Amino acid sequence: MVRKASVKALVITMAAVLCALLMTASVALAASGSKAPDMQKILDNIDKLSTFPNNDFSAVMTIVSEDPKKGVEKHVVRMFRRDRENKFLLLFQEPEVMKGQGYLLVDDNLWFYDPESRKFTHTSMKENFSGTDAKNSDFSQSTLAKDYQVKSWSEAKFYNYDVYILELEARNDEVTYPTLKLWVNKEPNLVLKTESYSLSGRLLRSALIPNYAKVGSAYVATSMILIDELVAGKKTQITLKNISIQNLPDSVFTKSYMERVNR
Amino acid sequence: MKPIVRIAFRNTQRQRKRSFLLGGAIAFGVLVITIINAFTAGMIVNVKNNFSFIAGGHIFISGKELSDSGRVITAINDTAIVDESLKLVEPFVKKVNKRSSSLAQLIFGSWETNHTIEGVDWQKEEELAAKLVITDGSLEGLAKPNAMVLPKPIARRLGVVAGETILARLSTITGQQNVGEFYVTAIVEDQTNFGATSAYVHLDYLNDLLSLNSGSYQMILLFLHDMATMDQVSNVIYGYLKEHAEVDPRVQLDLYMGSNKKEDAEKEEEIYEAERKVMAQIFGGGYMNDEEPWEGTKFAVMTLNDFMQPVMAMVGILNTVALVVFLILLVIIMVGITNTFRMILIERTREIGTMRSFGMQQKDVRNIFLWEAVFIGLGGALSGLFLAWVIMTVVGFIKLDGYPVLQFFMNNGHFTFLIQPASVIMNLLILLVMTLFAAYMPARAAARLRPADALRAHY
Repeated sequence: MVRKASVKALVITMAAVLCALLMTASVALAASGSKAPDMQKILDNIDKLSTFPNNDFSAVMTIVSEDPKKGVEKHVVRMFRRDRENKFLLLFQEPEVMKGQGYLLVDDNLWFYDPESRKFTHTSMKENFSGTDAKNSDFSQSTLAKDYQVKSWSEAKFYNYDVYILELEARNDEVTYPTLKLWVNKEPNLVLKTESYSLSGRLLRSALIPNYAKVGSAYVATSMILIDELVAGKKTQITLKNISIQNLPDSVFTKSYMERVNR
Repeated sequence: MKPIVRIAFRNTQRQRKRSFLLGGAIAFGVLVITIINAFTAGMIVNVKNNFSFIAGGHIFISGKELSDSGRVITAINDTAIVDESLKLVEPFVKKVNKRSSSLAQLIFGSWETNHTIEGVDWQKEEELAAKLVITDGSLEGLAKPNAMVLPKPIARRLGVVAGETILARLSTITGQQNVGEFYVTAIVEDQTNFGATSAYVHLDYLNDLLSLNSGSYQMILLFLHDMATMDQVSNVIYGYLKEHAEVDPRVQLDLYMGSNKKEDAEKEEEIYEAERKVMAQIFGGGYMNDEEPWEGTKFAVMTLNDFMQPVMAMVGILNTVALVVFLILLVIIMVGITNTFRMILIERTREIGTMRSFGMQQKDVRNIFLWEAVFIGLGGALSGLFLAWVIMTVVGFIKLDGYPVLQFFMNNGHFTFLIQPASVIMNLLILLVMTLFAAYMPARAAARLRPADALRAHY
């Protein structure tokens, strides 16, 4: 009788322990499941945090490009952006020889204007911006979530920041860089570093973004260093000043404005 | 020889200095027009040859296709149609080359430069290999799939020598960034002398970097047996392609002599657009216009002649200027001839009277004068032709390397003079007619002299 009772107690105890273990495991799993970051959402966040859906954006960019053979070149460019209509206007203010030249993005067409010849020429977002390491597309709104999907991710420390390292692959064969590697701050989701790779898997460009400024609900990279990983010693530094989110007249984003501003 | 012709010829010797000066003026006119005509004819040939060397053929067939997203990509995947069209012109075609090309950023250490890379099938393009003038390395390295033949000015700019490896950054046909490593097997002279010689690489390797399908290419280049058949052959190919596939309308470069008028500015805009289309058709690139979407490969056919319009127009202007100068010179010479023959008439009045009284007819007197003019004219013209030949030969030997702008009009740094028999004959005929016309009035006056009056004359 006693033996029977002790076996029963043992079975009950084991079942209780098993249940407890299962419950703990399921709670732990549930807890860990809720904390696993949704990387595609992070890409969305990155795009949202750098976009001005309700305001226009303007700033003065200073672009200093260093070339070991050509020396240092400085460009000052006035930038106007209207993200809700996917438009931008870049007007050169310096150097003097380029004053009045500019880029206008309207209806997915990017135009380059030269006041000397008074001609607009069709150009591509994939071209380098005036011989620097920046691409024309670097000045339009971020579309990472649309163009890329997360291939893999990990967590790491980047200087003092806790970051996610995301490896992205292009969703189609028409984006400039087939593969990107991003170092994204955990909170808020700001890109601190980008590595851009070629189709053959070669590192082409590294971009470091050490400073951001909060403008309204968005963040603007106020300085950026672009390093050409193929040409030794070639890099470009971009800094933004006089940032404003005041709305601009519609006429700013037109060809006639570019022509008029040069008269 | 008729006595009249003999007398006329002898008369040219009587005042040698005068005949020499008159003939010299004619010679100068002939010299100028001959040199300019020969220069422009040589220039056309050089431009065509230089251009066919750069572009790799006389007729160019390129293709473009639409990607799923509507982007225009430069590629010929529909090879069967174009192969069929080539069968129609087989007897005229010396060589068919299939190539791909890309404007790449070539990088060596911290040096970089942009240059065109052409993918060639070395096994089929032996004549290209044979034409290259190697200054460093050899073509043996072509066994390597990533071998590159680099023009000397580019190698110098990058500081690279044969046997080293360089990088090439380029865009795939869909616009993605890609990088290839190239082994520089040989460095060659820039045979255009103005930096237009491409860097040559293996077609397959370049196609791989451009993300082109295996067996595809971007352009077909045709070398013809006879350049004169260029338009005829291209029309046949274009006609066939138009019947069996989508084609771009034929475009030509045109010369525009600009002014500030508004309508001229619009015309300039049109020409600028046409230039872009031509360049896009020949060299590929993302020229996009507002055309309707299409299926399969859309072909474009171009010839060297389509490019030559501005050059031909320039040549036409030069030839016209030369002809005007020649005619002005001839008018001046005619005045000189008329005056000279009037003087001769006065000097020989008594002699004419004597000849007439011995029974010489009026027409014989007139013919003596005209024959004399013909001899002076012909003598001057032949001397002018000879002098022009001497000058052209000497100038043709001079190598001008220091003027890159002129190199496109030259043959390996030398000006080429091509004497056109038809234009020489035409110029001689114009000269002869005008000389006879100039001498006719004094000759007629001499013929009409009454023998008694002539014998009595005291000048």
